[in-house]
Amino acid sequence: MKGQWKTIESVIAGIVILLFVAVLTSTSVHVSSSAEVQGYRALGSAYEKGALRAYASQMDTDAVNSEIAATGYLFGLGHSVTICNATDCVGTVPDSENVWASSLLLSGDEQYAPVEVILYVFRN
Amino acid sequence: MIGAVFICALLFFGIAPAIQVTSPPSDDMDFLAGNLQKEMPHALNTGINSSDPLGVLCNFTGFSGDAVLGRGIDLGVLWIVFMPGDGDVNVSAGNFMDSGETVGVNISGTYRDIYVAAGTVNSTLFTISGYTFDAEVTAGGESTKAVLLSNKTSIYSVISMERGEKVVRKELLA
Repeated sequence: MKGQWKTIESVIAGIVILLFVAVLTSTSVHVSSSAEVQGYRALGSAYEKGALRAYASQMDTDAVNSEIAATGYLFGLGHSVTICNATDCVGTVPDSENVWASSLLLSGDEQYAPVEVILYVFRN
Repeated sequence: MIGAVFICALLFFGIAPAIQVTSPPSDDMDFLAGNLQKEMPHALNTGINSSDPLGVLCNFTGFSGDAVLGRGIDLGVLWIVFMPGDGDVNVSAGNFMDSGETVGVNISGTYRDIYVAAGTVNSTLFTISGYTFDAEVTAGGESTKAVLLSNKTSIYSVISMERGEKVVRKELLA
């Protein structure tokens, strides 16, 4: 009888530990996927407003960063931008753990000048 | 002792599925395919401005393919451009899929097959009359019909993205 009770206690303890680990893990996953989704929402919103095209074709990362921040989708998250054409990239890649990168392709503004805007989202 | 075994078993079976959840999300393919769907017509317009619409489209398709390859995505694009002239329309098909494609084009009742080898562009001329013309295209397993303007360059495209098991396909007509 005493042995059975100890077994039940152990099972309950195991479940408690399991729940603890599951909550920790699921919270981390939620944050990561949510950061990438927010990154795409921010890029999509700035793109639809037509706010990125001119700045991106001039490789102006500061202006693109500001336009993306203005969308409000990245509140509470850190972000930075790099802009790459066929040969070069300008901008800052964050030196941080758990960084999520979202991309947007643009063919230029008035003239053909293709670039990839890469948005890095991370926890401050 | 039995309790300890239970704990180990529960921890193992509990953590294993949680680790699988951390595989990267594939929303980027939907986003990027939608991005290209909107951006290809813009690339065509910049090409018209520089009097090299097909060259610009070829370059932008290649640039996009290289960019998404960095995310492990295999991009395939097939586009057909209708460039009306004086009493005719030049139909050009660019094939950036993995293999050769036969594009079926019907312009106001005249039907032709255009074979386009992978990574190349092939063109043919159709006679048209009036302010509009009927166009029907069968390409890349997709088919579409449209009434196009005789004074405007138009594009139809099939965009395909693949990464592992996941495939995203989108069409555009502009």
